[in-house]
Amino acid sequence: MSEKKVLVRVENLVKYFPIRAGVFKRIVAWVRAVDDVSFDIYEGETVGLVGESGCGKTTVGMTLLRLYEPTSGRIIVDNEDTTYYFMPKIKAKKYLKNTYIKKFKNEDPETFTFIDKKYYDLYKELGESGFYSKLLSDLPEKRSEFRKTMQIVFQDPYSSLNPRIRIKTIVSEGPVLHKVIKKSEVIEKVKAALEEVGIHGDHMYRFPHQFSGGQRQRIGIARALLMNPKLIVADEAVAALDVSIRSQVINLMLDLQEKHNLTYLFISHDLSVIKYISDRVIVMYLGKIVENAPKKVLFDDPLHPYTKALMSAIPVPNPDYKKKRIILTGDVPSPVNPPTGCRFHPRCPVAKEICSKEEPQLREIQPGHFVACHFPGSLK
Amino acid sequence: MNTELKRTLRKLFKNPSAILGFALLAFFILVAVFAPLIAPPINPLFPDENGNPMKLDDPYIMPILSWSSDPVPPSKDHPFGMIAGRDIFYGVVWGTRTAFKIGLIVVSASTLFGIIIGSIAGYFGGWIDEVLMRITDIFLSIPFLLAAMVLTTILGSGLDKVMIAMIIFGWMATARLIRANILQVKEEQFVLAAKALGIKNFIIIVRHILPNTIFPVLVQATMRLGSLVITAAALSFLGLGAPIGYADWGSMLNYTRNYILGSSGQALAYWYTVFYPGMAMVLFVLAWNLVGDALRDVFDPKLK
Repeated sequence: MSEKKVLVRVENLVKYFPIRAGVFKRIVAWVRAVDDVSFDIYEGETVGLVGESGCGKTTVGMTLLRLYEPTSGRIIVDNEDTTYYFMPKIKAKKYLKNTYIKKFKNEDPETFTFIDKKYYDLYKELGESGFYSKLLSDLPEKRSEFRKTMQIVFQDPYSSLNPRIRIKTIVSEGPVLHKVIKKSEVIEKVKAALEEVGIHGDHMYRFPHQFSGGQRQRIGIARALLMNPKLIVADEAVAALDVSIRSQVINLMLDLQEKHNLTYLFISHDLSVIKYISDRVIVMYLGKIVENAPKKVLFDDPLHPYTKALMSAIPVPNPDYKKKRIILTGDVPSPVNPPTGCRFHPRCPVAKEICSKEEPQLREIQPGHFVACHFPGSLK
Repeated sequence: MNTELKRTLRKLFKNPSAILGFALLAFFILVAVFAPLIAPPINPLFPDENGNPMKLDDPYIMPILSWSSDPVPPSKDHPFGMIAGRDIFYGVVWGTRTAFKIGLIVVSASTLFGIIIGSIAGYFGGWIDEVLMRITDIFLSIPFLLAAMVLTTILGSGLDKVMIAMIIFGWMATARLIRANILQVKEEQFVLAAKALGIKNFIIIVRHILPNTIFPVLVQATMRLGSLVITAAALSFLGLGAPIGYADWGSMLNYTRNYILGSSGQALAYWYTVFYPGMAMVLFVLAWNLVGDALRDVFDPKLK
C-alpha cells in the first residue's frame, strides 16, 4: 500500500450545521455532523465508509464533493489543496493566510509535510502577495478541474434524474460544460457511455420515467462516468435497489473501476455490500472515525468495540449457526450534544473511567490499521 | 411523450367543466379577434366626404350615438340597449379585447416578476431569502385597492396606470408559491447532481428547478387572469381606471351607477345596463377558473 499514490487526503475535516431559532434566527446550537475526521484514499482502491444512519457518513461524502462547504479542515486532491476552491475570494485569501502564511512565518520548514513544503516553495519563490495571486488567479479553471476529478452517484434512482429532461441531456450536460466532450460528438459519446453501463444507446432520447430503478442507477453511473473522473463517491448507490439488481450494479461498478482505473468512496450502511466491494473500510460513529483498516483485517479482527458489535450483527445465511451477538444498549446520542471523552462510552460494554474523560485519538496500531479507542481489542 | 400528451388531452376532454371552460374561452377569443366585424368601429352619425359612416380614430373609445344620457332599452339596432349615448353591445364586444389585454399583460408581467423574486429567494436562501421575503410581506400588508388608488394619484389615472399598479401589487402570491416549491425541489438529488457536475446556478434554476416547480404557478396565473379583470373593473368603477367612454366592462358599469336601482316603482327598469357587461365579466372569470381547474387536474401528478 505504501507505494500507492494518495489521491484524496482529508485532514481534520469538520462540518457543523447551525440550528437557528427565534425571530432573529440566532444560532442556538450546532449539529456536529462530522467532527475532526482524517483519512487517505489511495488511487485505484475502493474505500468503504460504514456507520449507522446519522453518523455523518453522507455528510463526509457531500463535503468531499463540496456540495457542503466544510466548517474547517483541509481536502487535498492530487497533491493540490482544494479547500479554498469554492470560497469567495476574500474568504479564500483568509483561509490561505491562516493555513499557510502563519505556519510559514512561525514554524520550522523542516517539520512541514509534503504538501506544506510544496506550498512553502511557492511562497519562498513569489512572496506573500505573489503566493495569493498565483493561487487565486484561476479559480474557475480550478473548480472545473475539481468537478472533473470527483463525481457522485446518488442513493435514490428516482430522485437523482431530472424527470423533465432527456437522458441525452442528463448525461452530457456536465461533460459538455467542462469541455470533456465536444458538442459535435455528444450523440456518439453518450451512446458509448450508455452502452458501457448496459443501457441501449438509442434510449438516450427517452425520459427518466421510462426506465426501471436499476436502469436509472446505471444512467446515474453513466452521467458520472462521462466526466472522466478519478474518484466516484457512491452515496448508498445500491441501497434502494432490490437484491438481484444490486449485485448487477455492484459488478458493473467493479468492471468500470478496472477499465477506467477509478477510485471509489463507497458509502453504505450495508456491511455485506461493503465486505464484497471494498479494499479498505472506515467505520464512523457519531461524526468520528472509530476504525480504519484494510477490509480483511477489519472483518477478521476488529479492534474497536463498536466495530465488533457491528460485525456481530451481520446476518449469516445459515439457520443452524448460532453466533454470539453483542447487543448495544441505548440509542445513538444526539450529535448536537455529543458525550464527553469517547463518544461511544455510554454504550460501550468495556468502558472505563478514562473513556468518559479523555477522547481517544485515532492511532495506528498495526501498519494501515487505525483505531480510536483507549482499550483496543478488549471486547472479546 | 406523444402517447402521454394524447392521454392527457383525452382526459381533459372527458371532463364536462373543462369543456365548458375551454368553449367559453374560445368564444371570448373569437369575439376579441373578430371585434371589428361584430361591432364595426364606425360612427353612423358623422358621414365622411363619400357619404359613408366615419371611421373611428380609436376603436376602443365608444362612439357617442345619441345626446341623451338616459338608458335606452334593447332594440333591433342596439341589441343590448344604450347608456350615456353609447351602444352597450359595442362596449361589451370591444371590452373583451380590453379584458384580454389587461389580463394577459398584468398576469404575465407579475408572474414573471414573482418567479424571479421567488426563485432567487428560494434557491439561494439565507439572508437574500430573508430580505426578499420581508419585502414581499410589506407589499402583502398594503391593502390592494388603497395602494392602487395612491399609485394612480401619483401616476395619473388611465388603464395603463391601473395595469402598472396591478403588476406592482400582484406578484407576491407567485413569489411565495414558487419559493415554497423551490425549497422542496432544491433538495432533490438531481439538483445536487447538477451541482456536483459544476453546472452554473442560473442554469440549475432554469433547467432543473423551474420546470419541476412551474406548473402550480401556471395554474394559479390562469385563475388569476380572470379575477384580475374584476379588480380592474372595480378600479374603473371607482373612476381610477379607463378614461370616460373607453370600451371596458368596468367603466361601462361606472355609467350605470345612477340607474342600478331602477326608476321609482320599477326596480328592474334598466336591467340591461348592468346585466350585459356584468354577464360578460362573470363568464370571463368563470372561463378562466374552469380552465385553471382543468390544467391543475392535468398537471397534478397525484390526480393522474
